[in-house]
Amino acid sequence: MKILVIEDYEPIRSSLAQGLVEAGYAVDATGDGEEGLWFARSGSYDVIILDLMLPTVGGLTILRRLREWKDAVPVLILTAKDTVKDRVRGLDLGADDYLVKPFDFKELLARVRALVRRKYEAKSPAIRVGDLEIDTRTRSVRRAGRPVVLTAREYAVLEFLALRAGQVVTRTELWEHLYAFDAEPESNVVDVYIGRLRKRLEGMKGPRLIHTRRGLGYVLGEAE
Amino acid sequence: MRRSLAATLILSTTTGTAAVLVAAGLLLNVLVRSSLTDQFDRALLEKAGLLAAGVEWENGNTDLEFEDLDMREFEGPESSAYLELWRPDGSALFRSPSLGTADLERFAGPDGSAAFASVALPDGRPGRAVGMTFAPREDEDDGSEGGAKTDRGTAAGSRRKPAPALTLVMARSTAPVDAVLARFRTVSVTVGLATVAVTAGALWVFVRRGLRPLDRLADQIGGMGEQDLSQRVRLARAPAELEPVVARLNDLLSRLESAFQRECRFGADVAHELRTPLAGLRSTLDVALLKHRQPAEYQEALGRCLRISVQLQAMVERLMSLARLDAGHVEVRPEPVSLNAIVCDAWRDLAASADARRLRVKWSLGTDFTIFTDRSLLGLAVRNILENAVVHADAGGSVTVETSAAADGAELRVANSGNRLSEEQASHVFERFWRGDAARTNTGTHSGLGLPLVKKAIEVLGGGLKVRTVAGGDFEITIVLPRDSPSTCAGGPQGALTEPPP
Repeated sequence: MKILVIEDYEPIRSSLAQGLVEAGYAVDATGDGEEGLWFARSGSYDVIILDLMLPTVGGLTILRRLREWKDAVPVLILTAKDTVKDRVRGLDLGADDYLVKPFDFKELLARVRALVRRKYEAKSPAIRVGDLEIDTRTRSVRRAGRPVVLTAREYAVLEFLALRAGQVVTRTELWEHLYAFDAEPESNVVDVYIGRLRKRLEGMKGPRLIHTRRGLGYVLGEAE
Repeated sequence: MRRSLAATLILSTTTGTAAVLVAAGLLLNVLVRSSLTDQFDRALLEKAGLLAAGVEWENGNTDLEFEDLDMREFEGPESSAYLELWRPDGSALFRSPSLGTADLERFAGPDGSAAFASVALPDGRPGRAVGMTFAPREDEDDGSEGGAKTDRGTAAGSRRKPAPALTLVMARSTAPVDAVLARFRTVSVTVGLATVAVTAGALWVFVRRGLRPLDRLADQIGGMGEQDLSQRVRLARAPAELEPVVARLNDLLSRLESAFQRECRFGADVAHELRTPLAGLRSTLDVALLKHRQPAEYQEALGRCLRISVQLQAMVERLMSLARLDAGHVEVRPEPVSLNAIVCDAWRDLAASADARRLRVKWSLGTDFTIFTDRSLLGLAVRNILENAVVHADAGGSVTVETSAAADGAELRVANSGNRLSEEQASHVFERFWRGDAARTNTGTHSGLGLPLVKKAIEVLGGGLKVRTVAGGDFEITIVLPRDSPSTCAGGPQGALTEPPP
C-alpha cells in the first residue's frame, strides 16, 4: 500500500513517514502544497494524509482539485483545526476521514487501514482467499490454519493481491503500490517478490494460490 | 433599604395630595363655619330686633307686646331658644319660659350695639347669643291692651319719664349649624380619603405602566446568555428617558461582543498553535515507541523532541510576556541604556542562524548614545525584531540594522530582503497569530507572536513603530524610542520578562 503524506510541520511529517514505513507502507512525504498536488496526481496512492495549512497550495484546495479530477483516492485530513465547522467543510469537500492534532499514531494507522479496506471494498479486516487467511490488523498470514512468516515487503505484495483477489493485478500496479516515489528498485523486483511469496505459501502442500497471467500480471485465487 | 422608584413616586405624590386636601378641607371648614355662623347670627339678630321692637315704654312702664311674634321657640323646657331682658339696674325684666329661673349672661356691644357670643346654654348645650341695649319704643296712647304684661311696680307715676335702656340677650342652640358642619366634615373627609385612595391607585397603575419598559428591559437583559453576545436590547415604544440607556447598553454589548470575539479567536489560535508542536512531539514519541530500536534511533527521536519542546517553550514564553504586558503586570524600570549595546546583545543569539541562512548583515550603528528606558523590555523588543528579520529574509539575502539619534530619542531600523508581503498584508503584521503566508503552520519560531510582542513592548515604553514594505524588496520596521520612558509600577505579581534564546 502506498501513502502520500502532505504535512508542512517537519517533526510530524518525518515521524509519520517513519511510522508508516515501519508499518509496511510505501510512503511519499512533502511539506509543500504544490509538490503534494503533483505527487497526488502522478502517483497511485492508496491513502493521502493531508494537512490543511500548507504553504503555496492549501490542503482544501488540493482536496478540491483531486475531486475535480475524479480522483477517488481516500483522503484523511490531519489538522489542528477542530471545530465542527472545519470538519464539516473538510468532509463536504470530499475528505474520507478527519483526525485532529495531536493524534495517537495507532489510531492513525487504524484509520489508514480502514480507508484502504474501503477502497478495496473489503468490510472486514480479515481477508480470506481459499484456505489463505490474512489479518490486516496484525499483518499475520495463515494458510490452512498454519502461520506463514513474511517480510514486510512480501506481506505488502500479498495484501495488495488479496484485496483484489480474483482480479488481475499488473506488475506496474504492484510496483506503484509498493514503492515510494524516490525508490529505485530493480526492474524485476515484483517477479522476485512473487517468487518468494509462492515459495513460502506454496512450499507447503496445497494448491497453487498465485497464478500468472502471461503478458498481464498476477491473480490471487481463482480468476472470476 | 432599597428605594423603589414606584413606591417613592406614589408615596410622595399621595402624601402631597393628602396634604393639599387636608389644607383645603380645613380652609373650607372655616369658611363654611363662619358663613353659617354669620347666617345664624343674622337670623338671631333679626329675631332679637323684632323682640326689641315689641318692647314698649308706656306711661313709665315697659310693656312687652310679643303677641304678634312667634314665641314658640322660647316656650317650655324643650325649647332651643332663650330670651332675657334686664332693666338698667341689672334686675331681670323678663325671662323666657325656657329659661325657668336660670339666667343668661348679660352682655351687649359698646354703645348698646348688638354683639354676638358663643355661649353655653343653661342646659349645657353650645349656643350662640346676641346681646344689645336698647330704648323701648315710647307709646303715647294710653290704655291699650296688654295690661297684664305691664310692669307697674317700679314706674308708677313715671309718666313722661324717658324710656330706660334695657338689655336684651337672646340665645339659640347652634345644634342645626353643628349638624350641618358635622355632615360637611364627614362628607369632606370621606371625599378626601376617596380622592387620596383613587390618586394612589391611579398612580400605582400609571407608574407601573410607565415603568413597564424597565421590566421588559430587565427581561431582555436577563434572557441574554453569556455565550451569545450578539443579542441587542430592542424596546418597542421605549420612552424617551430610556432611549439613551438602551443605546448605551447596546453600545456596551457590542464592545463586549467584539472583545469577547477577540478573546475567543485568540484562545482558539493559542490552542491551535500549541496543538501543532504537541502533535509533532506526540507522533515522534508514538513512532519511536512502536518497536524496540537501536540507541541511535532513540537518540534521534529524543533530539527531535527536545527541539520541539524548545520551540514550544519559546512560544509559551511569548504568550506569557504578551499576557503580562496586556494585563499591565510589567514594571517599567527606566535606567540609562545604550541602544547599540542592546542591539549587539540581541544579535549574539541570532548570529548563528543568520550564518546558517547565509545572510549578509549591514550594520550602521550611530554614535553610542544613551536613553532612559527599561532594559529587559527593550531587549525583548529588539530581539524579536531582529529575529523576525533573520527568519523572513530570503536565504542568502540581507539584513540591515541601523541605529540613530532621533529628534527626541533614538531610532532603530531593521530591514530584511526577500519581502513577500503587500502593503495591505504588511498592515497586519502586528496582529497576533497573523502570518504573511496564511497557510503556513506554526513551526515554533514563526509563531505569529513576535511582532505583536514588539508592538506591545514599544507601546509600554512610550515609543512608536512603523512598517514599510517594498514589493519584492525590503521589509522594514522602524521603532522610535523616547529619551525617557515613562516609569510604571503596576500592581499585582511582578515578573521579569524573559525569553529563551531562539
